[in-house]
Amino acid sequence: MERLSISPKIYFTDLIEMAKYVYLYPGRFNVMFNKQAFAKTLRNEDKNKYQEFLNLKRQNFIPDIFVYKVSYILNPYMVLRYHHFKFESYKELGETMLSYGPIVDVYLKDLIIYHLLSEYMERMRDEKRQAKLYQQVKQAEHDSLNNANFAYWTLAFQLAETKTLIYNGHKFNKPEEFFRQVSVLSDLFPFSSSFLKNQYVIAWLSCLGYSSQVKRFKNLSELTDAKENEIAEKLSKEIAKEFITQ
Amino acid sequence: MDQRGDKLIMNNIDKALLLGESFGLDTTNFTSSYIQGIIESDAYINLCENVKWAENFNLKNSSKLITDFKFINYDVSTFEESVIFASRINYLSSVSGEEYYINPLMSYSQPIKTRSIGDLMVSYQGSKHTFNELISDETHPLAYKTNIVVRQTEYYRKEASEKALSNFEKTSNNKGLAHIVHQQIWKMIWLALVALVFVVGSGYLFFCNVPEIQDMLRDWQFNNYIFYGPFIYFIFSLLLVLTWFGLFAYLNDSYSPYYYYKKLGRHRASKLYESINKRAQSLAEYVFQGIKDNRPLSNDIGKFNVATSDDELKTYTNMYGINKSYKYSLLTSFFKTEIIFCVIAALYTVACIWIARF
Repeated sequence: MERLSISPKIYFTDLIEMAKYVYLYPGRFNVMFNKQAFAKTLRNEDKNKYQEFLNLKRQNFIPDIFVYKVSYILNPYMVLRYHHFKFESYKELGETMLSYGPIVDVYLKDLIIYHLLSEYMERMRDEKRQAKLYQQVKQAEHDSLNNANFAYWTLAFQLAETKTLIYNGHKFNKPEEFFRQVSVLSDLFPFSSSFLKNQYVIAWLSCLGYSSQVKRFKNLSELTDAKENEIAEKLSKEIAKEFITQ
Repeated sequence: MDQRGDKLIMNNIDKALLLGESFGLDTTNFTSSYIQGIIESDAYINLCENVKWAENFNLKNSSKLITDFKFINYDVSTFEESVIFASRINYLSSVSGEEYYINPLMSYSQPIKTRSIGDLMVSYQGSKHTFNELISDETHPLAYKTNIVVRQTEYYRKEASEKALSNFEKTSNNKGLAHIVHQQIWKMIWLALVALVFVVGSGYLFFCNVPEIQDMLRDWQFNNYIFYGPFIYFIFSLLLVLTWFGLFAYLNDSYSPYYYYKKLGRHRASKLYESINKRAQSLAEYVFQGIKDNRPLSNDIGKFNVATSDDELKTYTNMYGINKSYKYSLLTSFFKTEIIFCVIAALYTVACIWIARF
């Protein structure tokens, strides 16, 4: 095979071996995969993979997804690896997701919203071996259409097989413990500003079985927002009307 | 809670407290400040003003608004209850405007704020929109819009008819009022008899040759003690008659609508129904034309109103309270005072005549 390099010092002579390093240098590999030299090499090495590569190119994925998918065309049976992350097990993936809590890692979220995880499981024949987990992943992918962050954290707890909340490095097993900590004003402000957006605590409470309380909170919160918007709109209209009349 | 741009906004801290309260977070201090914020909000002030205004209209939706406002639960102890309270206030405030209850087929004794039928609210697709919004809505077919207009106009027609019926029932077959009027007639007859007795007495004194009175008339002396009695008696007898006529004129004026409507009630009712139906039909056609021409409606709120029996009802209500009216009380007091003076003057005269004879 012709030598393919992503920098003067990093080069590859084996496509299968090269695929294992794609996750470490996604930017550089993106440049390489878009060059004629790579396409030519791939066509010479493996006609089927080249055909798959051409099909993939036509789908216009974002660079990260494109690079990931090319890497799995080159080597379909690697352990899960994506954008600097490499996971030996699904549990490890879940634990990594939780370790960043309450921050949602955008690259790990890609695994769900672009259906990369379920696709990986299918490739590894895990959809039957780990049927329950596969269903949870599919559910998360479906739920991510409505609430991506909630789906992300729910799946994280399921993959990690834990119900312990890791919040800014602190572990909490019960909601009472967590809210006691949050009631301190210095913690209340940062928590308040982000908890609705990141959905971490809400997903945790749901996983603990407090779905009815969470649902009630969501309904009440949405109802309040709707009513406030209605009255705000009405009062604005009245002010505008008065202004026009004057 | 923030007061951003003078609008009531539930912020994320409030939401965090709302969630935390379900899991033992103590929100006591936050609850009271949240409630305070609601009470001082523009939404609450707007609601109070609108409810006060709605009290001027005896309509279905205005009455509902007033009832809903009366039954707001101010007994709030948890943060969740205070959030529900805020939502209730916001909701009621958003539907408390005159345009939510005004019926364009009815006339009102006081001026209204709404200028156009296009500003009136109509409900479709689970939310409220103005007629003008319905006209400019391009997402629904003409048939759908027509159906909404027909439904809303029918609501107006029904409300106006029911109100007219209710007012006629209150006036036409009102036995209580008939009893009051009959009682008042008998009272006037009795008062007339009393006045007549005193006038006859007065005539007897001056024209029936009572020697002491004849002497007094011949020999006109102000220091003659007998002089004052007959003259006071005579003057108050005249005043008694005048007061009776005043009272009669006042009652006649006040009760005249009773007889008028009693006589014409049924006829008027059928004319009013007919008028309401015609106006409702015209209103529907008018809005429908606006939809067809895609032309917003303006300055037309009084275009289809029908003179309802509200003023009539008001006259009837006044009749009930006639005994408490200022004029009636004043005239009755005059009448009673004049009788007392007449009686005293009569006794004085009799006493004087008796002393003069013996």
